[in-house]
Amino acid sequence: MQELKTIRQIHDAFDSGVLTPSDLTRNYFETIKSSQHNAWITLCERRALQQAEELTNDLTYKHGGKVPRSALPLFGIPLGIKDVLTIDGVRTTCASKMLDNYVPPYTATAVVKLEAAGAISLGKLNMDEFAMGSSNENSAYGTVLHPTHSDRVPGGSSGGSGTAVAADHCLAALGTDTGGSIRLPASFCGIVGMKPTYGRISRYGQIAFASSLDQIGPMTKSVEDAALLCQVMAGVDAKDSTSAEIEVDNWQQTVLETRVSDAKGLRVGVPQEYFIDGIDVEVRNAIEGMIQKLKDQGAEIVPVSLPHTQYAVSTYYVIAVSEASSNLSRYDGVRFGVRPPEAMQAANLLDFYKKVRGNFGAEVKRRIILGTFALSSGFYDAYYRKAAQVRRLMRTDFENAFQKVDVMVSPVAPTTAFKLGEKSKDPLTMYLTDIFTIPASMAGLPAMSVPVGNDHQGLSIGMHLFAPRFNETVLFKAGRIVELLAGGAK
Amino acid sequence: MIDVNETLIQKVADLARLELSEAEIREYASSIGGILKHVEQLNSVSTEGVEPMYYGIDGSLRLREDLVQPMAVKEDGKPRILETAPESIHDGFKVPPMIG
Amino acid sequence: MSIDYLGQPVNYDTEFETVIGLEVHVQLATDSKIFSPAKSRLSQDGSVAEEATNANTTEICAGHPGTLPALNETAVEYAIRAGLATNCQINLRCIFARKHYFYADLPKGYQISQFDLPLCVNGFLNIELGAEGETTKRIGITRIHMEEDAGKSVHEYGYSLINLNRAGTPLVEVVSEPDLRNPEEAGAYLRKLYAIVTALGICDGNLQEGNFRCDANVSVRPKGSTRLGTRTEIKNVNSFRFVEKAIEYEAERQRQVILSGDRIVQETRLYDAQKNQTYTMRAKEEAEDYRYFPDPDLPPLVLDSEYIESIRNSLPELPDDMRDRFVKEYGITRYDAGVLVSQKSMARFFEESVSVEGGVSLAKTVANLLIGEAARLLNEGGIDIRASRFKPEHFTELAKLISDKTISVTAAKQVIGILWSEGGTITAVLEIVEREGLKQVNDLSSLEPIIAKIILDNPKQAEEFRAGKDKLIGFFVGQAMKATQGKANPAMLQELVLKKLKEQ
Repeated sequence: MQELKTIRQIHDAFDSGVLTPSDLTRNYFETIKSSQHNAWITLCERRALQQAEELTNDLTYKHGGKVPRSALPLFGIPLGIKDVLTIDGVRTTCASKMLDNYVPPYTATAVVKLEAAGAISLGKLNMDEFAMGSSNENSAYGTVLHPTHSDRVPGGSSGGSGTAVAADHCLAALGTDTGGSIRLPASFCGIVGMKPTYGRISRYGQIAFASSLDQIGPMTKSVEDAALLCQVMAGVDAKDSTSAEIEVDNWQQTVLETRVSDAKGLRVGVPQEYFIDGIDVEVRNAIEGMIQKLKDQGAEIVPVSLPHTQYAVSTYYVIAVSEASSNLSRYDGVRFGVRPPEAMQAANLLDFYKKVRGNFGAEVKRRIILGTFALSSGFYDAYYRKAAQVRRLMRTDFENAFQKVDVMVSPVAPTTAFKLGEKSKDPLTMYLTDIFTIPASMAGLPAMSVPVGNDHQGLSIGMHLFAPRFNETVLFKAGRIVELLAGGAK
Repeated sequence: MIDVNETLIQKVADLARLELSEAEIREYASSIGGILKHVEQLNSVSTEGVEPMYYGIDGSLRLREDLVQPMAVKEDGKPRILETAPESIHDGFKVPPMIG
Repeated sequence: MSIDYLGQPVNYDTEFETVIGLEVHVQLATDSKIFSPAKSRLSQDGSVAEEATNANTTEICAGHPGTLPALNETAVEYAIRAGLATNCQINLRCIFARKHYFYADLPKGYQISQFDLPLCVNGFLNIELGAEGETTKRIGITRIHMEEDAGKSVHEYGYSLINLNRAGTPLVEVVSEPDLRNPEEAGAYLRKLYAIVTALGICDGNLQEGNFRCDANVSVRPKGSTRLGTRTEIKNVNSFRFVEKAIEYEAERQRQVILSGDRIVQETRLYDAQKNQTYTMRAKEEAEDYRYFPDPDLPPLVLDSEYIESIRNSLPELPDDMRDRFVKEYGITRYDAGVLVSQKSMARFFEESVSVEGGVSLAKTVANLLIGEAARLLNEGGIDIRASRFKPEHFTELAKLISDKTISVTAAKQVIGILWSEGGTITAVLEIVEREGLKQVNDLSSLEPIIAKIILDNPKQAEEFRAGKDKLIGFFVGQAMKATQGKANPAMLQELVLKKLKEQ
């Protein structure tokens, strides 16, 4: 089974009769259950096996063994769902003690679309609490381990997704990305992670961290699968006022048609500000090596400048935490979630709230305090509004640079996967891990991490690609070229 | 420059309805102080006349047609929304006495 | 000598002036909620049909994790109607903001409202003052913004219970300028605003259900001063009469505080109708820091002026225009017309009553019956005329019977009282008149002997009348009415009494 890497290969196996969705699903549950990675919070085995059985019946009987692939592009494909997305009747915790007992009464639009396309949800993947973290050390359900190096972090916040896909617990997974939460674990775990343009995929059912930045995206073993999942999930949703009414292309087709030779004439921007001191030398070499390969294939390498890059982390940590402090106001133990027994003994409502909300994890509390402060009377203009202005400047930087180039490339992170506990003592150092992924988030750009090599310890290095808003097509094309040049998925 | 001390942390935590231990207050005063010190670099950016970017998407708000959708109910006909209630009574969400 | 709150010496002869600004929350009568497809209106006719607790509560209404708001287009249209009808400027780009506070009936920990750039700004409406509504005053409207309603809390012994059926009901908050100077003006403003929003069809207007709720900001200052005194806010009073009383009480309380040398504390107060008092709810120091910021889930609402104009062109007739038309078309007084149009249902009912041939000649009588006896009963019963047993044809018929002298106005009132409890078709009116023996006696020959006897029985009064004490005519008419059990035609009776007194 290990050799079956992509959705197309699985579908070939279904078609040839050597595999059924039920077999595949059972196999994945075996792998998951024997794993020590702590990648999953909740498994929905019965639900998944039932989905698989229905699909297997379809496969075997209704269509005479052949399924119209066009009707169900994800027929029988087992997926992992980051535990930030709701599934009706399946516990959804957001890796928080606050939601330990929360079983949502509705399903996230993205998951509805995937399942309608034939996908099977295996369960809910571990993550940093409320998607706040870069190492997956902030989960109330314990740290997720790196897929191959047990002393290392998988990256966060979609660490469970990164490890699950890399360790073959599932064919692909959903992650969410606010400041790099898909791309960083993809880079650390050695898989493809893609964050679409803000507004591409409905956020309905994605438990909010920072509403103006959050975006769902695929984490897969290949660029082609990322393209396929993305196009199934993309599109306007009446339930999400920030989802865009912009046509969705057949990105899978784009990837299938892309050849290495298509690098010719591709204008690849290299932002100067991303190649700073402090980047691990092996990471730098790997990225520069890939840039050279692109150049060798005829790509036009263009140095560009994004002058406000140095303010990215500051800007992000004001805006994201401000929105988060607001989004997390709803966790009050009244309508859902965990209410500690002592809360009903509270003398008054104020006391009740403090007892309930005291159960957020340490990092979440830190961000709520920071965000509450940034929005509070007397500080709003100096922090929140100021950061929103700098955010505009960062976006303008990109718009100017994209006048000259089709895509841009950089490292995903300054280092490969770091050690457990290495940065957890110092929040600011941890925040700086996201220095290269945050700017694209701030501007709402589509961005992707594609594995391009390993360091001497065998830790994966991802190349970061980002494109103009709503131009996923060029991003997938460039991503596929990089994948091919790196010797990745065939 | 803002002096991030324990009093400020306590005040903001009260505003956010977070119960903190004394150790947490000390830790946050220190770490948040450090983060805000870093954030101060924004003061050096000239933003005069720059329109703040508050939204992830451009353009106008889409409107929803005024249509009522049927409510989800449990097998016993009770509203499904009560399933997630930590405590409920008479089909309402139960909380400690808010007055008196 | 004391020092007042402005640092001025208190002069006990100082004449104070009250300054009032009103914030009115109007529930919009959309079918679904402002941001969720849950049912919003309990009923379409304003009657109180209680829904089961939390039966109209979706995951959006309950603020479940992952849910998002989607704005109801009808709510926007209704809010624009409110703005246009109160002469507001409509902002072609307006934004929604989150207002944060923690309360058990506020599901998300914030209310989606508008702060900077509300939908409507800089409007006004005119109120009529004086016994006959002869003077007009313009009251400024600062802004009208859209927001969502909170749920309801029921307080029981030992716990509270949250019902979210109301959470997410669309509201507009109409904020007036501090242009009102006394309780009467405040009452007139509220009645006019109420008449407008019900005429527009954007609000069901059921006060008991909280469709139209008022907060009053009240301060006092020495007359002639241009500075505003420290104000208090009286929250959530849902009857016009109680708003007037609450303001009256609060202004006097503030005057006493100042005269005693104390300061007014800026605070939120509640009104206790039973005691006719206001009392402290929370002081300003305890007030929340609402941390308003633009809601990232709701991009700015951008409207085009063509759309606004299409709404303007489709506005129904507004109360002031209707009042002027009633005066012109039906020859009723401006005051009567004003009372009729203050409730859309009453105005419609009136027009239906007089929409028969020759109806215009009946209009004055119909108006009097509606404003008088009918309105009295409706107010007592606390129901809308459309929810009562009254039918427009009852009033047409009554006015006809009065005008052809079949019954007296007094008798008509009796019939109205019976219709109120019994109802019936158009024939009910005559049936009641017959059954109760309410027909006027218009027969001179039957009245003459009765009057002659009364004069004979009261020689002293007859003498005094003849000596010039004209007022005594009333005495004789009254006696005659009594003798005929109120059935005599009063005009005819008076004429006959005069004649007989001179003759005898």
